[in-house]
Amino acid sequence: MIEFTFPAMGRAIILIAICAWAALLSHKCISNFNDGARPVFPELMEGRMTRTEFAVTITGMGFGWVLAGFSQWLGYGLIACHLTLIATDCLGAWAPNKWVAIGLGAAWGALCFWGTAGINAAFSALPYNFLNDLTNISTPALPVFCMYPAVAVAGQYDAKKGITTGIIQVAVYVLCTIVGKVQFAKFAVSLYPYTFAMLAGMIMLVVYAVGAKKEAAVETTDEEENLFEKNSKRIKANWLYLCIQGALNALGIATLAQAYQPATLSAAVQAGDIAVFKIAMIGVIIAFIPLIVSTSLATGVYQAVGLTACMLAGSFFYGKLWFLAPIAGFAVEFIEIQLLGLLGKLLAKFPGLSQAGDHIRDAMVSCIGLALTIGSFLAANAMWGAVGLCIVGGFYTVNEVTGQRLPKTAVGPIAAVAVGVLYNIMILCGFIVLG
Amino acid sequence: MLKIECCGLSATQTKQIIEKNFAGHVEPLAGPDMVAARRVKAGETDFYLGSCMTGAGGSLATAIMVLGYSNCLVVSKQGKCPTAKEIRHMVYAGKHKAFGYVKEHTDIVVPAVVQALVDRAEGIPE
Repeated sequence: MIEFTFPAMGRAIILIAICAWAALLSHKCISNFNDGARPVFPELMEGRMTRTEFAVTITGMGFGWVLAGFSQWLGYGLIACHLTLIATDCLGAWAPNKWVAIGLGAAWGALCFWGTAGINAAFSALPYNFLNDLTNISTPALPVFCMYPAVAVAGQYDAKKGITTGIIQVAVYVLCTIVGKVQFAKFAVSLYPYTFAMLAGMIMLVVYAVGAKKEAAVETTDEEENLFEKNSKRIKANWLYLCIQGALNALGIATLAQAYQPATLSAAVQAGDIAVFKIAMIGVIIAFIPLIVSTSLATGVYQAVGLTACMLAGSFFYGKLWFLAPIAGFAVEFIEIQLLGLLGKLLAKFPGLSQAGDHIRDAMVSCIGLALTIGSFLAANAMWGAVGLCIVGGFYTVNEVTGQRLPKTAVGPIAAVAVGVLYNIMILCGFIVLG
Repeated sequence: MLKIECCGLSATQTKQIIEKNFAGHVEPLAGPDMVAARRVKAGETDFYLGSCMTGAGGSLATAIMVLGYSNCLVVSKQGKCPTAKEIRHMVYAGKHKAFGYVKEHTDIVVPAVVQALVDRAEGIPE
């Protein structure tokens, strides 16, 4: 279980502030969180869609993600951006004016905080409290996620290079567990194996990328240059709004009021070693830059968490000097916005970067999805043995053949909760007697 | 012979599906999205397929930027994958150049979209 050190009321206020501000920015078409919905914003801004049409489209794209965010909370015990910011995208889209947007956002933040607390309380009141079993969902998170560089290498190049990377990562992992600790003069550095296995894999990614043949640069037309220029100016003009969001996001991470990459963050917090989260975030930032920069420059709408660097900045103040986190978040966001035009030019010059980003994101998502699914099976097994496994397995496959109504990452944890609830019903009916 | 660009998260899988099912009818290409979208705009290649987590963001961002929103179609969204028949209708009903879908729906969407594109090019009615 996650132990929160920051006072609950403080976390609630921070979460409400994050959500209210994000909803305002979505309403004003300044930034949004769902990269998939970003290309729709110009349709509203340039009058090709009414606000209602726009809101319906945005909500249709976001619904599955809010569910995924909820299941992340079930599995990892942290309120992740998918639960908060995807919803504020939609609420901001529906709001008729900015005050309603702020109000709806704040209400959603409050609902997220006290709603999840209420569900926790309800679970504890059941005859069999399965919350403890549910934490099994996070068991495979880090072990599977830290292998993402091998998956990315295999996807981008070939299986042989992927396996080589995988073997190196495992070797580094084993080495760290054997050595355990390194003594530098007075400082003892403990070698958390996941951190260094992931780091080794990321170095291999860079080694292969440097050795690969370079793609020819792209010739951008004047029309595109003008579009880039116009949109980059629009984002820069909104810098104050965006930097405040960056500051709030960083504060969210420092206090755990809101999480980003909850799989790694939750594991890092439980292990008491935040370094593994920082290393993972470096990979995340690299992987997301091509996607976020290209969608932002194409639309003039920025990402609510920027290039995600504000999350890394916030993690430096986790557990200590939390009040400095907003300053760091503000500064990092400001620098990002200034670099946006330059990054766009860089992406045109090295088109291979965006392909590499695709492969890394694909690898991360595959690893997290797999870890959540395996974790759900572990949790179900802990609760109800074979019956639990049977229910989660059935739930998962039925969702597959009926066209994935629930996102793949959401179905496992939701099924695991269903197992816990059913188990309690069985107890209440007297079919199962707890020993 | 149609030339189709395969981009996004499941680009490799998309290319393999086309090679397996449409050998001789379609030539799949896998290049960086920035290059691919421009080749479609210049008319060097015919269509752009892209996948991502949402079916509309990473998959189509570059295509929307280069080809314009009205030339891009979101085929599948998270939590809603249309059937082959619905996909065929979507393709025939519009004149889109780029198609986006959720990466997990690749094996359902790609054969249906490409079949519809091939049939339409050969003048076969819906």
